[in-house]
Amino acid sequence: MSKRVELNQPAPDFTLADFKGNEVSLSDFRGKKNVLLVFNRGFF
Amino acid sequence: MAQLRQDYDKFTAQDTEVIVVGPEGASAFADYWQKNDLPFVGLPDPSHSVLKLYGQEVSLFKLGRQPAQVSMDKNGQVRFVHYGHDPSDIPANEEILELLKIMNEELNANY
Repeated sequence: MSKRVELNQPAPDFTLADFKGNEVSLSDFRGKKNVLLVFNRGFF
Repeated sequence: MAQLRQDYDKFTAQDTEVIVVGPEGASAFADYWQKNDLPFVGLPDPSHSVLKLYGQEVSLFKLGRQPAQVSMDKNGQVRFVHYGHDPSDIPANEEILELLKIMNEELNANY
């Protein structure tokens, strides 16, 4: 079983390139926006 | 995803960015985003780094990855976590939107 994130803890930061090649970090949104992270099960 | 698309304006109204992370490559994301006219941030994660970091469940018996949703407030704190146990186990947008509204009210009350 992989680890999971916990409620009311700092969200683990990450940086990934979006599909257009722009780097996006979770911390980019800090102090600006809430974030809803959606992990999909695949495109159909 | 269609449901999220439909309610995207409601998320924006709650000062919330929707970010979709998946194991597909950039070209699969680009095709899907174009075909469905999606407004979200789309992050291909073919090395599964973020998928693992956030513990998305992989079930060999249920054909792949199960859906998961995690929401953070503006302070970067995790405020909502839902790990699906089957492909249809996805929380209603209304439930998440209600929480986002509360999160915003809390933050505003602190200023």
